[in-house]
Amino acid sequence: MNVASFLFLFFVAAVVFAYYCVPPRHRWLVLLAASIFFYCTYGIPHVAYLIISSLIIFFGALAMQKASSQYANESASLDKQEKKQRKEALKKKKKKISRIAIAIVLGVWIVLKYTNFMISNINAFLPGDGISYVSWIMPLGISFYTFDLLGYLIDVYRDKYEAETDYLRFLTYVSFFPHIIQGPFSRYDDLGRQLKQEHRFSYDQLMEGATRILWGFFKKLVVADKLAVMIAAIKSSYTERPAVFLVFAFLMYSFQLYADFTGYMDIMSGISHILGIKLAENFRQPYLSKTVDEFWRRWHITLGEWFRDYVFYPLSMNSMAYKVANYARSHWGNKAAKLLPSYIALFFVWGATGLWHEADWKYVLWGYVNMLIIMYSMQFADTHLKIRQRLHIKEDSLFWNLFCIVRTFVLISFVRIFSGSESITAAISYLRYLFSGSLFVAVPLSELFVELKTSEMIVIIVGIIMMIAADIWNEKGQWNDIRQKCPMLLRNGILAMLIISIILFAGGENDLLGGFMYARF
Amino acid sequence: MDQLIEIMSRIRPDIDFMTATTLIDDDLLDSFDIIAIVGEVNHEFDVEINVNDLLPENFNSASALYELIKKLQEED
Repeated sequence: MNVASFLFLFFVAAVVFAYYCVPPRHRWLVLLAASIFFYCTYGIPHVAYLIISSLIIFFGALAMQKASSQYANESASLDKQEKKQRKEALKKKKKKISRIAIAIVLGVWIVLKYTNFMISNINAFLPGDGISYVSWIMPLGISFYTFDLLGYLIDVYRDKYEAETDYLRFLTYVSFFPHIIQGPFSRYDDLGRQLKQEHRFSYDQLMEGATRILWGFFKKLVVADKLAVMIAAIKSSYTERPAVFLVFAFLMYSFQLYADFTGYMDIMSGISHILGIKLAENFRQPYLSKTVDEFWRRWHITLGEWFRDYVFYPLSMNSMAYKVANYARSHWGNKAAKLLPSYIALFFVWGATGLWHEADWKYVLWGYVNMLIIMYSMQFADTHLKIRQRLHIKEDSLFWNLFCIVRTFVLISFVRIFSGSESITAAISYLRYLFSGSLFVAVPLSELFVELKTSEMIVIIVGIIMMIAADIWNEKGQWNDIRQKCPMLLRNGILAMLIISIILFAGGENDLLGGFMYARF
Repeated sequence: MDQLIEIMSRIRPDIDFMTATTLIDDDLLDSFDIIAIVGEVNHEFDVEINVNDLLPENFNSASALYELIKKLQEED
């Protein structure tokens, strides 16, 4: 089902109506039925995979929980030595169960997502046609819900919370339609708990949710889709224009990605809000970040937190990492002992983050360029501080903050040349052209918006200004205040403008996924 | 406790660890700071803080972290 369609809106309306018509204690069943139906529209095999993988994780977590409960019941009557032995045995058992469950679910995900990538790499060294590519079904949203499942299993392994004992409740959490295709990544102790609570209908909630949905559709269908047309036009004939066009295209690509991804999140968060459920926020004004490291704590937050909790921390906090730290301390001093374990963990995290996005070397390169920038800022933090002090730059001055924000935005847009290009070769060609000259050529703004009409250019500029303004107000914590104080006439006027803009300007090339960029991951 | 404050201040000299009680809740410490603090604490106090201990309630203040260290030392 295309999210950017009237059919989807009708589906949402039907779900909301049914949800609030049934008694509160049964409402989760409406969500389960709706989510499975929604997922079925992409094909039955998708659902089969979802059910099998969720069953494996559900029973794996349950087995660990059973072992933990058994230990808890018996430990009171044991002496210290026996307790220690039993605790060790429990740890081993849980490790074994979690490893089996993770190996199956993660293994299948890796095979489905990376087989053709591996074949293409092997074929590069083979003569002739090489190995034939496979055409397996790639279940939609698999990269999102597989990681949700793994996170749940690891949390139960770590005794963060108890395992769910009702499979249908668990399936409701995994398949919840606002988060299954494109995230946000959720935690069972948050979303699972909310799905168990009884939610009452609220008119205010309905209006707030509907407004957010409308804002999301505007960002996606007007800003992102129109920018996509312009960027594609510039990239397809960039050598015929001065390099300034290409710079403009990659700067605008950052806004396209932002409008596309946050647009989807706004639509899904708006739907959840109407249902009384709060999805985890995936963005916190990322383009107001002052460093690349900060940017990655504000952009796709739930993915970053997933990698932090389940990859970065375990890699930086194990006996090997401590040995590395001790070695670094004795050979190179305290600073090296502090940074080296993080650098090693970052190497794996950014490689995995790149590959998580897409099985393509360009994403690995993109990940490592991000990593190098973060490492550079960590390594030279003291030097930068000294330079700032020598130049008498005040950290809280408006000029310095603006400089840092613009610098970070430009850096992030630059790094995206690798992920936003068709291949690494194409990215190198773009970079060569960027530095070949003709960068500082004065071009009227209207000419930069290639392929777009003046009215489309105006609506994009207004849309971007609105996005930035909303972020600034949110950053200052003034958003709710401004929204409440906004006169009814002005508020309705803005909403009407959004609707009219969608009617007049929407019409990008949307596929079954609604053309959302992150849905293909 | 003084030794712990000294370790934490060495890593983040801009934070007053004597008074701060929302180090995690207010994002004052990032993941790199936490890793650095854990590494130093493990080294100086001869304990092993593991991933399961990385809960906001253990890292929101120096005193909470000190309680965790004492607990781990007792378990040993």
